[in-house]
Amino acid sequence: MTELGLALTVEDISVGYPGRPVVERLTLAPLQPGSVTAIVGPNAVGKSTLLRGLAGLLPMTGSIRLGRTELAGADRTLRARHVGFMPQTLPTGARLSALEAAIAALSVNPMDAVGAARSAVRRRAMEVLERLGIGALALEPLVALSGGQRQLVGLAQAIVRNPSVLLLDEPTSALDLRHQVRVMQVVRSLAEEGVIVVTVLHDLALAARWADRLVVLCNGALVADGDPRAVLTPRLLAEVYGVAARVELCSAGRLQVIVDGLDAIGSA
Amino acid sequence: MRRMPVESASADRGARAERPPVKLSDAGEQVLGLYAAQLRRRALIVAALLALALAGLLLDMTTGPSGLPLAETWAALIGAPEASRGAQVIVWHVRLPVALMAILVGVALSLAGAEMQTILDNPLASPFTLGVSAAAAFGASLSIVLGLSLPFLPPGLTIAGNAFLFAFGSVLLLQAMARRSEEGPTVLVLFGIALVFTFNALLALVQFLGSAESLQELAFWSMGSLARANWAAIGILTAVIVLTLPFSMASAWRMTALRLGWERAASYGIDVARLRFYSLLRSSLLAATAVAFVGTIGFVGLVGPHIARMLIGEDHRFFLPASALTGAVVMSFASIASKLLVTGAVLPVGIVTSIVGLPLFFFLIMRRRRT
Repeated sequence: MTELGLALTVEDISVGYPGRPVVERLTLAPLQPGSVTAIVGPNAVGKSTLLRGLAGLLPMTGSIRLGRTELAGADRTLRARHVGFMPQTLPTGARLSALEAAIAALSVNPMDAVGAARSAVRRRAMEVLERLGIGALALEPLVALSGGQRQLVGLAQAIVRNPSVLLLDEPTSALDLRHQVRVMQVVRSLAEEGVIVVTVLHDLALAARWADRLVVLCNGALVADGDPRAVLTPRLLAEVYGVAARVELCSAGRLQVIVDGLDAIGSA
Repeated sequence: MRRMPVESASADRGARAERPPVKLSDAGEQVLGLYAAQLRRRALIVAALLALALAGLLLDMTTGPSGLPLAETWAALIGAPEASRGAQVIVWHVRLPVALMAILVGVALSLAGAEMQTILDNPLASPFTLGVSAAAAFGASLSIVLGLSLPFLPPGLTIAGNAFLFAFGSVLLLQAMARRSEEGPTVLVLFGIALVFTFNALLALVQFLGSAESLQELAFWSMGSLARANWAAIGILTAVIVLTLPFSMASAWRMTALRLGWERAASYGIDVARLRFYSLLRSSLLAATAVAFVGTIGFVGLVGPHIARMLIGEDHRFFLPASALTGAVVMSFASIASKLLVTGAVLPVGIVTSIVGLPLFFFLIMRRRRT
């Protein structure tokens, strides 16, 4: 990476619901452009809550800066220009096509830099669908798409506005192996263009394979943060997930997590 | 696609805005051509609905107990010398107000229903199901049965004034309850259903206290009738539509984005709570005004948007006007049917919309299941 943009700094943030904080006073080392960071951890420890906090969808305190621009508490249109967010699911009831969904993402605010000419908006929407390999489905209604295809449309909507920071909540949850690789390849290539990608992932093998950095959460607190090879250890897996597991390199030199069973504490 | 090194976040935006024109594959260009054709087809459908609504308006004016033919109706309408005085009176004082009111009420209720269904993310939302009509009926009952009304209203407007006050107030109550709840739109629909039952119970209480004559008047009011149409009502309802429609259309893209989920919409920079608040305010104004003048008219606010959605999809730039016009067409033809169904009598139009609307609604649901 020779061309780098601005880093994302997350300092002392608390996110949650009124009277029910989920993530408390969390600080992360700066998230660099071009990097893919995976947030991992057991169910209900605050992974999605942290991501929603970063996206500005939940009440939060603390500081989130992109370069020198403060995004926490910033005007929502300002934040929306820099941050793209992909929720876990795409509603099934909307009578819209994949292309319309992407165009809508570009057209909500007439003041957007991208909201320039109508034809430019349509071309940009189509470009993103083609990039994700779903150009042929552009005019299909969302209801007619498979779960995997819908997930790709959801990703298209998150990246069509060309965000500097891309937040993905379980982008591969509904996908088969082939689509998983497809999505993570796109995510990787976006990072190579200088986007800061933060994604919640359940699958540790997928996280180890595609992320540069793992952020491990447990009960709303940071447990580990760093290179997957340094972070993923049998001890951490026992402490955080309560499983007895081995972490080994496969014949291709990639990290594999092999779970043997519940550990002594977990099964007690 | 490679980004330039940048000094600040805002400079980054500038750099991105100047990206070279997008290169698409031939297939991609073809898709955009098809999309443009799709938009033209939708514009045509909206135009066709407008034509159908105008046809309904004309046809509505030619039907009635006195059997005025189209040519004579037209002559009376444009004030041609060959039109008889009687024909002019019938057209200008009876037929035109009723026919116009049908169109306006259809527009108001169906547009209100369309906005409610989108912002509450519920295909069953409508002024009827959210309690607006029930609240209006209770308000009207206070005036009809107990003689209670606002002090400053002229006598002709006391019932409508009361109905409006309660209809609009019920939606404000709904808003207030929704704000106190963390659950969002789902709970709003449940609150609405609770309001329907509450106001129906209160209405029953008032009916229990009422005299026989007042109960008859109230029953007739509740059926929903265009016969009450007059030029003052038409003026007020037109004003409300003209004032709210531009705001509806201005938020068309935001509403389209909201159909993709509130979190996604919020991530695009949309203030979802604000969008919901103003949309609900507009739809309650529209519905409350319409219901106040013509009484309870069910199913138009529910069925109109459903038909529009099937014809045109949910790009709200087309969906909102198509819903309004579908409502106008349905109401206008219901008004015609109300004069033709029973010879020599004009049925209250609310009965017609319910009788015709219910089977239509079932048909739509079954058809949707199959697709």
